[in-house]
Amino acid sequence: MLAYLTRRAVHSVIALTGLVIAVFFLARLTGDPTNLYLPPEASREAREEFSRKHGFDRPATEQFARFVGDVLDGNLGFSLKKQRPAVEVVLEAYPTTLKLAAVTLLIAISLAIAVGALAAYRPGRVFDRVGSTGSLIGASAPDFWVAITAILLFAESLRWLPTSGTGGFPYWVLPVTVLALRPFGLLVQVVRGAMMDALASAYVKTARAKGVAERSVIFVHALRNALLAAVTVAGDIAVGMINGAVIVETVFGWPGVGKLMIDAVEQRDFAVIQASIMITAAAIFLMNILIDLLYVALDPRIRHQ
Amino acid sequence: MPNADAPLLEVDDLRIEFRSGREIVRAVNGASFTVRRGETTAVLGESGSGKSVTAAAIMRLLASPPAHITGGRIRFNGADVLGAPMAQWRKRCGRDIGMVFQDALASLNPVFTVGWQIAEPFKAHGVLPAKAALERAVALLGRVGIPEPHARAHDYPHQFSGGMRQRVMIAMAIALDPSLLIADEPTTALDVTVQAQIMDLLLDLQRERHMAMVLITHDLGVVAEVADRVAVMYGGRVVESGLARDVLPRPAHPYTLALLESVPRSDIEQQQLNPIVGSPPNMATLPSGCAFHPRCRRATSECRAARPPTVKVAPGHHAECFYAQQVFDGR
Repeated sequence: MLAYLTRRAVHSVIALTGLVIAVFFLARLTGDPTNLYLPPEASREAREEFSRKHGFDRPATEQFARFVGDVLDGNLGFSLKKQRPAVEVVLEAYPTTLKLAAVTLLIAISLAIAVGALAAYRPGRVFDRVGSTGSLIGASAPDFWVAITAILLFAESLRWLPTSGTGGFPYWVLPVTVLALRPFGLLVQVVRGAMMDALASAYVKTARAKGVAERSVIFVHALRNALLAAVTVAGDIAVGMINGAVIVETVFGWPGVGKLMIDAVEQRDFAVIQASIMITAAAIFLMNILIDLLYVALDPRIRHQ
Repeated sequence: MPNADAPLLEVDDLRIEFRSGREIVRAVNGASFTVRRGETTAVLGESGSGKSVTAAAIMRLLASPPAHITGGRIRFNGADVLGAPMAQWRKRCGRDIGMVFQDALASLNPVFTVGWQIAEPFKAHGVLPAKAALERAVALLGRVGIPEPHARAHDYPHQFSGGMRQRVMIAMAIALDPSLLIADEPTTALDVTVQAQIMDLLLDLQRERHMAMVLITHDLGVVAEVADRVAVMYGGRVVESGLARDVLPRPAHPYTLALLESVPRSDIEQQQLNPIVGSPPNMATLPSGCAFHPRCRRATSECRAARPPTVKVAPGHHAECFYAQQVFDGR
């Protein structure tokens, strides 16, 4: 277990180092933030003063060396825009992203399991056809298009729901639905396939031969095995979600880490870009471990290897 | 309680097809045999002869589609099996009839402990609550010869050896003391030394519990050792049936005879093996007349033209061959 965690951690640190280097220099290629933060009529002295204060006058390599030193001291930098430590800014946005991800995943996974399992029980019947086709559309529809179409229809034309922002239940409906669509579609396909395999398996025959009621055959014997495949895919989806649903958060003005990153890039708020990427990487690392542990808990064959 | 002499299980003219697209595979083409209380009936045949499909049909485990039962009857304890509502039939599975499958690794659920799986019939049939059921499961594990049953009940199927897994399957099948045990090639997947142990265990349990057993097998040696009755299947039909002690020493069907001759013998000097020439029939395009005629030394134009009648060569000994009497008489 310890060996496994160490190996995982080493891999993550290596990957993160490469990523941070790339992000650091790429961000600086977007140009000097000075012009963005000072008014057009600001004097040359003021501009130079700003550059010097934030170290933008130094060569990029020197800036990088300083950044690495700061990181090792536990300092992820200072947000130019918010005038606060970047860590604070990112950690403030994070729960918003996590809440959205958690609600979305919960809905997508439970619905997908129900739909996938029932579709697999009677393949080729009406429910299966509607479910399979619907899930395929859901899995393939581009989220930016769905998001904007949904806003036009439900917020603009029908005026049933708010266009964007955060608040009570109505504010959750569109972002969660749009964000859940792809995971739901993918998972229905996975659960349906895995359930069909499980229902055709020898152990399901054994369960029937023992006189186990059909309900338990499906929802205990078969589904418990089909979940193994679902967890693998749901895990990937969960990892994809906790780095912020960039498009959905941006379109719906949802103040999560995805939107924060996009804003930070636009504003050349380098410290926030870097901090959000490092914190997201840490979250992904933890998430992956959580998924592995869940997988081990679900599949005894892996536990005993 | 039905008459003790009445057959426990009757399979009568059973016909089963598998349909996929245009192709129709006629796996079982009018198979008939009976099983009496406390007796072992061996259903003997090559792969593809329809014996396992017949076993699955008795338990109503065939998936439809692709399988369709197109004719015949199955009676258990005098009651119609195929016509009963599924939910009602399911309540008899496990309680009145137990089944042991060939591949125990695939047939045990990989994500539940063996204790849980053996305890399940008690719970599913409302016989015992979970805790008591688990205690019974431990006792059953001990009965089928698993050492340290208390500890092993918490293990998963993949933690057992092939023979031990088959013991687990057997424990599960006999949990509710069924009056009939269907064992579908219970030893085929096992090492030769383990095969004998598993057969011995099955026989012990059968005697101890007065169970009837349907033993699906392709192993003549096993049949000779354990079977009271034998039904020989070929091309989806039972071509010869009778008491094992009548049929094996003096078969009346050329196929049974060829099978017996193909077994290598240790008591006489043999230059070579005597295989049955040709290969088992393609069940999608069965030969006309007697399905065995392309491989039969005695086949005549008659055998190609029409299905042979069932000939009674001795009381309770039947064979489906125009020349059954000649074969029986050794002519």
